[in-house]
Amino acid sequence: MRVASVWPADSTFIERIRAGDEHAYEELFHRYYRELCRYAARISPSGAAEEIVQEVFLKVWLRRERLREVNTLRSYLYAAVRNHALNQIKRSGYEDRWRRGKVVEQSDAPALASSADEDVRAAELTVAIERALGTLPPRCRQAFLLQRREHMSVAEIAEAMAIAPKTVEVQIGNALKLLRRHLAEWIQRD
Amino acid sequence: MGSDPDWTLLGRYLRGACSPEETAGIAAWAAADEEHARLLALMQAVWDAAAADLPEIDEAAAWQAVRARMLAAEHPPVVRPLHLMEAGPAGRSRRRRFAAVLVASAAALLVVTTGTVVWRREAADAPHPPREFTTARGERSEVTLVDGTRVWLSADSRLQVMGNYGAGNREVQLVGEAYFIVRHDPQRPFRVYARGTVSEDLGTEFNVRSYPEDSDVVVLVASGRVAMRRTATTRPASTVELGRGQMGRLEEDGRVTVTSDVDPGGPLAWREGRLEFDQRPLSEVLRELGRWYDLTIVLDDSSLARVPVSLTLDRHPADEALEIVSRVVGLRYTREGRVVRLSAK
Repeated sequence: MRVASVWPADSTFIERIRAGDEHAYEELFHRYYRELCRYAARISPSGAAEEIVQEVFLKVWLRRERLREVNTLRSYLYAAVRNHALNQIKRSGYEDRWRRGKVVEQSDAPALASSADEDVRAAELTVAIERALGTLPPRCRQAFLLQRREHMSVAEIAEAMAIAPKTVEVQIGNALKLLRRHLAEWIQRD
Repeated sequence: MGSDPDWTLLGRYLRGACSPEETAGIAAWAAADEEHARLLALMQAVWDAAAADLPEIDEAAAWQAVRARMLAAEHPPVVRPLHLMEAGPAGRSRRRRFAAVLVASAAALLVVTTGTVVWRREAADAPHPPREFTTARGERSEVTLVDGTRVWLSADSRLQVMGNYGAGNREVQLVGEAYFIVRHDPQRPFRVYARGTVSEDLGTEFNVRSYPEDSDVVVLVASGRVAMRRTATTRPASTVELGRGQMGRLEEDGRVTVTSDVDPGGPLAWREGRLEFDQRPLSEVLRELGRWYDLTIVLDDSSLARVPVSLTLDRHPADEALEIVSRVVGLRYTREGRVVRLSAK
């Protein structure tokens, strides 16, 4: 289903981690850290996303004897982040009440209502886009982000970049084409 | 249109800038093929997601933070023989072997007392697992690390030296209190990790205080500069640079406050065997004395816990110190072994 399931290529990867190989663990970290942070941010919008994910990576390392086959590693990590994030919400709910000395209404965290799977996919897509954007040619990326992030009109972008409005539209189209190419595997899912 | 859409047109569509005919054209293309519909949905998702301005993630810094905690949390702590070199009377070196053992309550086998010792690396290239220097309650020590950096450890403290110290980065983890005179090396930054903070040497002498009972982590700079930041967040804005006479404090709620023009006399007096208290709550004073002298000091009347106390102890033996404290707060003390009770006269 996912390209990610063929990573890592090395079948002894998980064994290396269980044996305490720090370098293997660092590879794992770099593979999943960013997307787990985006995922945690969706579940627990408290700004503590990085802290949560770092805690999880620490815990997983300390209990690394429990790691099994590689293809469950991804769901294991996501589940761990999810649990940790939800516990934080519960705990901080209590702390807030105690500190402020009054009952703080805690609305259901929005993520509890949406499906966990959706959040995971959204997080992966976010990170994939982040990475893909980094590979765009500079002018192409500039035009695209001026539209998407700064909400500038085509005319404004044209002036800012000293190109014709039509060229701006072509650049945006180009960005879409290149992004699609980098995200090709997403088309295969389901 | 074929399997690929007109990308420029698609851009206009996603921006909402299409004419009705153009919109109809896109719709027809999507309807013509399952693949097209999926592609359109994907590009819509990409379009929406790309608008999100996400917080920066510094992966490298995050990994350093996690790795430091991994190394510090490993059980059991590393126990390994260390080779010490001491210059003999004729200037020749003599090698002695000591075992560095983690200190439990009574079995104080910690080797280093005062005086300079030099740790020699056993093999130049082999990576070292982390090593630990520990002081018990009632004990202080001084250590010189492989690179010449000197560390004074106060009572009941633990310094862990991360693997590869000296070869790569120079990282240590501290619980308790220590004073550092760092051998500056811009190629190999010296960092002290202490509960939620990391302080980086910028050419310095500085003190770090982070006992488990304290609610805060305190860094005081005697000379030079230190960059102190929280490890939980890696954004540049949360780094504070401390200069001579400045104290950085990470509070429980995550705020970092900087106090300038701090008189280093009080906080650094411990290195000279002095304890100085300036309007500190009695309970804190008793806790520090307990650590310093390896005593358990109990205050009978807990309502006195917050009474402010000012006094100085200069290498006083324990009983004299207890005498002084009792007098200052108007109580009397009784002692049985290592347990002391302060009660009304």
